[in-house]
Formats: sequence, structure tokens, C-alpha cells
Amino acid sequence: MTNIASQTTFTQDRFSPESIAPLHPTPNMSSIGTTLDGEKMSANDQSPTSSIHDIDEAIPKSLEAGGLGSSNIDFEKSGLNHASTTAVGGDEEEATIEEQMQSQPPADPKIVTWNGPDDPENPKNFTWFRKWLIVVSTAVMTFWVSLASSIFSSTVNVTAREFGVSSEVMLLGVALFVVGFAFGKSRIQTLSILLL
Amino acid sequence: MSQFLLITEFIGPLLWGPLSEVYGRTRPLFFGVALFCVFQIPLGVANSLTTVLISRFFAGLFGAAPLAILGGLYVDILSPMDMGIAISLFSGSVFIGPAAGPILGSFITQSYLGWRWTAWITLIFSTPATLFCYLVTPETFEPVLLQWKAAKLRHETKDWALHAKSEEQKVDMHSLLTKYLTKPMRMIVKEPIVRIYQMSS
Repeated sequence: MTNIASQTTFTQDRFSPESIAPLHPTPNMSSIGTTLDGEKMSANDQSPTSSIHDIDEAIPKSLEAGGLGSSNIDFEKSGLNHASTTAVGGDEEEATIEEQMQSQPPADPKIVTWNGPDDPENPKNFTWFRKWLIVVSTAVMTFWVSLASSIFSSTVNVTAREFGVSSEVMLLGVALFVVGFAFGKSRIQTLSILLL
Repeated sequence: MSQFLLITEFIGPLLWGPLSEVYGRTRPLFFGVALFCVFQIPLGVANSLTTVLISRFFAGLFGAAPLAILGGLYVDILSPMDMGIAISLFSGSVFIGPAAGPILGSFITQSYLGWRWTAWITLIFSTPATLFCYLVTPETFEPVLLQWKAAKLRHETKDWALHAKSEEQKVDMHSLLTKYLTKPMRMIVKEPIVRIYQMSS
């Protein structure tokens, strides 16, 4: 029995030093022997010549296959190789994500997109004139809105006299407007560039 | 007061940012600017301090819509090269406005028109500008446009499975809060350019 154990550890040492021998149930002596042979075979490459060579050595095919299978199982079960298998899995995931990114839009015909890159409905394809008309007109509109923020400051003294309060109180008219601005105005200008 | 302002700026993205993400660009934009124009009226006819302050506050609140949304609108229609010119034009109007305000305002106040006309002048000029913008600016936010297109196609083809990519995402209060409330914070922490922009502004 000690002999078997030493043999088992030896076989698995070839794959991974920290593999778990006790987890792998060894059915019988012969299977261990074939495990060794099987590993030899896998190391020798799985070309027909090696199998012929194995047959020449008169090792039953079925046992050899069983040995190979069991060796594969404990290869997968061993803790050290678990990391490598997950790494492979990760690579596969990345590959599938890339595939999805490349093939997803045309793959799903139910998703509505633009009709090609020159779709006139796409805002990016507006004419030059239309784009700059939008930009200039919205800039003018913004000018009047931002002008309103400070236009009140010139009226502070007059209105303070009219309502009978100090001009400091009347400055709230400017301050509150800016507070309102702050509620709505945001770093969304910066964000929207990055978000969209 | 300045602390209050800082706090409001801190939660500022809540209002117009998510609105423009869900409803597109033009609807929140013109809703905001239209109400900005409307709130010039109580200012013009104000008889008490409270009316003045409240109408000023709400004018500012709704007037912030273009500042928050137009940057995104320019991104929708312009190439990165043109963006520079458009943004400089836009920021020019944003910064010239407050500088020109007191000049124009004191001119009006000291003339026979009186201080109430600062509100009327603002109303008179911003309303046509807004109407003109409303006429020339279509919706430009791509997800919303594709949703509309999908809705149109659904009714034309009777193929009810057609949908835009953005419709696959469920938009509710929870996702609005988790996505758009935390995104600015995450970006301030993660993105150096946002941090620098914040420090400068």
C-alpha cells in the first residue's frame, strides 16, 4: 500500500507538486501502472506511432484509456491547476464578450438602429448650415438666460428703496438666482461628453 | 449663503441631468427655458420682496437648463473638431451674459423705463430667441431618437418586437438614483480631468 501511495504521488508530481493524491481514488494496481504509461504516452505526443509502440508493449487498450482518463481527472481535480483552468475560462469569457460586441448588433434584427452611416435622420449627419444654426441660436438663447442672472444687480438700490429693505437683502435677488442656477447647472457639460 | 450654494451645486446634477438622459435634450431644455421666461413676468409686476425673490429663484432654477443640456446637445450633432468652436461660442455667451447684465441693467434702471423693465427686456429678448431655437432644434439624443423610430416602425410593420437598444434598460426611480446620482461622484473620484474641472470652477 505504501508502494502505491508513493507511485501515485510520483505520477502527480509530474503534473503538479501540490496535487491532492488522497482525493483521487485509485481503483487498482493496474490502473496506476497504466496511468504512468498513459502519461508517458501523452508526454510522447499522441501520434499513431506511440500508440503502436504501446500496443507492441502489449498493454490493453481499454486499461490504457482508463488510465488516461483517470489521470486527466486528477489533473483537473488538483488544486494548483484550478487556477490555470479558471484563467482559461476567463480568456474564453473575454473572447465571447468581444465576439458579442462585434456580432451583436447585426445578430439581433429586432434592434432598431440608423440605416447605415449616412442616415439623414442621424443628428451627426445634419447639414453644416443646420448644425451651426442650432449652435448659434442656442448660444444666443443662453446669452439672454445668463444675462438675466446679473441684470438684477443693477436694480438692487432702487428696489431696496421701493420695498423698504436694505440693499443687502435685495442682493438676495441675485444670490437666489445663482442658487437656482446651481440647482440646475452642473458639471453635466463635462459629464455628458463622457457619458454619451 | 455660499455654503448653501455649494450644497446645491453638489446635488445639482440630479435635476436636469437625469431628465435629459431619459427625456432627451429638447424637452427638458425648452421646458426649462420657457419657464425661465414665464418667471420674468411675476418679477416685472412684483409688489413685494417675496415675489421678487421667489420669481428670481425659479427663474434661475429653470434658466439653468440650457447650461446643463446644451453641452450634450452639441456632442450629439458635432464632430470633436467642431465641438471646440461650438463650446467656445457657448461659453462665450455664458460668460459675456453676466458681464453685460449690470451694464444693460443700470442703463435701463436709470432711464425712464425703471427697474421693472429689466425683467421685461429679458422677457422680450429671450422669448423670441427661445422660440427660434425651438423651431430650429430637433431632438438630437440618439437613444431617444431610436426609441421614437422603433415606435414608428412597430406601428408600421406590426412587428411588436422591434425596439431600440436603450429600451432594453428599465428606467425607474431606482436605476435613475443608482446610475445618475452615483455617476458624478464616481467620476469625480476616478477621472482626473473632472477633478481639475471641478477645482477650476
